[in-house]
Amino acid sequence: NVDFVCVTLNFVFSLSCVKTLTKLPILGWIGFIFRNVKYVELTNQWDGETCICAIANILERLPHIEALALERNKLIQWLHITSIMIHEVKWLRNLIMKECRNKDRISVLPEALFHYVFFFMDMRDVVQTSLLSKRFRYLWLSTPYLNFGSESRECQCPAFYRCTYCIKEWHHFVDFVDRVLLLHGSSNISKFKIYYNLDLEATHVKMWLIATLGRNDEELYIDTFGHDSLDLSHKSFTLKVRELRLSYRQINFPFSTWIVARLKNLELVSVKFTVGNANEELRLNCPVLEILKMRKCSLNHLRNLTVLALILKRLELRSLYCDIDKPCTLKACTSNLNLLRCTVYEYIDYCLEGLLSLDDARIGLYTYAEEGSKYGVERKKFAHCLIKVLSGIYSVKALSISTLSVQEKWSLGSIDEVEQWEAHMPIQTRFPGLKTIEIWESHGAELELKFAKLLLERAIVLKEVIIKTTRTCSMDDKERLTKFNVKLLSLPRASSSIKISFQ
Amino acid sequence: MKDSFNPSIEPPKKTVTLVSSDGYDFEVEEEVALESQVIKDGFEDKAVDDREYLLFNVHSDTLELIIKYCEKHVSSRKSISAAAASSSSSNGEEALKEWDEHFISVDTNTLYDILMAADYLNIKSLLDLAIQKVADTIHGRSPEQIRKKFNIENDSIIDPWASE
Repeated sequence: NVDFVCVTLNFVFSLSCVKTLTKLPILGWIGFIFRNVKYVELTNQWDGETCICAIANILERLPHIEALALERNKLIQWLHITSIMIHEVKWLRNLIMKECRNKDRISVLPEALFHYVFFFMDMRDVVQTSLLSKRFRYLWLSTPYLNFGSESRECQCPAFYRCTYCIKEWHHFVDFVDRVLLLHGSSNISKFKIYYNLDLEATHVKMWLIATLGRNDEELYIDTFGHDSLDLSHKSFTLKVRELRLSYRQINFPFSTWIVARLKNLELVSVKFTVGNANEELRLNCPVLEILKMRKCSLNHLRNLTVLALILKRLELRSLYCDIDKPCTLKACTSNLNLLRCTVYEYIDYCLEGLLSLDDARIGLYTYAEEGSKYGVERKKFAHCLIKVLSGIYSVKALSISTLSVQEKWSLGSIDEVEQWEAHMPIQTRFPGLKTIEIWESHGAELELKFAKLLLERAIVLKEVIIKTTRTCSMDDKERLTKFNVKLLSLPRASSSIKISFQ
Repeated sequence: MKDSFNPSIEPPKKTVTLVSSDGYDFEVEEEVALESQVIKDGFEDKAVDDREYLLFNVHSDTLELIIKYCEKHVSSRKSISAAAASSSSSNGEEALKEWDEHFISVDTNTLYDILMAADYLNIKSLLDLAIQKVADTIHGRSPEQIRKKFNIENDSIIDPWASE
């Protein structure tokens, strides 16, 4: 039942009923008769394996073939395999994909690409795709990416997420996650993300995390959010997790030292650290950590937080809280840091040492000190912390600074303590690599001027100073900025060519 | 020394030839072609005069779009880094994002072609863009609407939506 249509003898022919072509004697015969064929067109429906076989045979037996026309629709699934094969046939210059418009082309995407699509989708949408067709029915079960999130719908009820509607929703959500994890069976999971704006009980989350950790071979990205406390002392955490983003009211870290061997990216948001050991110390030992971000974290229970991460490249520490009576020392031991973002307070003592490859540092100043009884002491403390940070980052190449929040707290006139900053700073401290200084949210304040003076005197290769003003200036502000500019220009400098620009 | 002889002539830009599945040649700059990880991987091993790539999976229409995308990204990356060097504020990244969004607003057939080509050539940013577009298209639609959008034939035996 072979059916050949020869359009032009020996040069062009089309084949249909391809299945029969896999029978080798017939192909041999084709090769014998049509040795000089240059163009082959394959039509008809077929399944993958048979077609690869047929194409392989055709390519092998027709040495003069220049163009091969295939129906695009069915081919895509295994085109990678065929194209590797076709690559070896040097004389085949032309592979023609016959267009099949208005046909379902999404369903024939390879499974890996579908999972990649699911990476960006919420689990509710993903599960819903199982209704589309047979191809989709079990596809979601093997996806390694699980994103559970609630639509950001704000409940308007006065009870603040405690109304019957919200509680019902909450039960639905928990039930949904449970069932998905159950049905998902033993498939690999490499991303697990939960975002829910209601309280998720820690027992639930912990159960889900342990279930996730059990189904993972290598890399895992966890992103969860909750109000309850979470215990991270489970053994699997220390072994498998590669990226971790946690936003929790309270996290119980393992006693005194937390070793996470494979963690590359750690982000902690609104985390309250629990007590470490008897000396109130906690050590994070992350040998391959590259990015560490901490935001709105509370260090109330700690006196010492040490981060041991030798290849850390990026460190962001913003809005960390601490008890006023109990300052905390935050020590980072890393020599490969490129980028540092941090907010300086008087109650957190940063020990940043040996940051030799630091390129970019952005420092915001924030103070709790208000005019009152302990005013002077607190200011001195603040100055001490700031000077310590500045001496720590002496090898930085670009530095940007904002002093806005300090200006707002302190009345602009009284800056006597600032005069003493330089006294705190060892005179030999220089900034040998500093090329750019940026002052953002500038107000033209005296404090900024002092700061600029301190840096200008010590930066030997400084090239540029940029002053950025964000607010729309009133006439008053403009006048102050002009005065500021004049004063800035008259400051003594260590570097000979400095460009000062206002933006 | 050679350059000082005739300084007015710039060195010719190195080009690579990409051949689409239907046999058209596209000559592009080396930089642009190197956006593709697949080409980059084997690039150094190939002889300079033999830098021709047969892309059996990519139709000329799609290849034209892909090259347009890569050229835009190479040029805007240059302008962004130039802006950063001179410290002048620029919203180059935002403009590029807008351009991307406009670029990917195509019909499903073209989107699908771009997706497959980006996967085949391993252009990560373009693949992400296309995949995100597919995910956005699926998001918030009922199964029936998704089927219509992507021309998916419903071959399920039980269709719980059919009764509605």
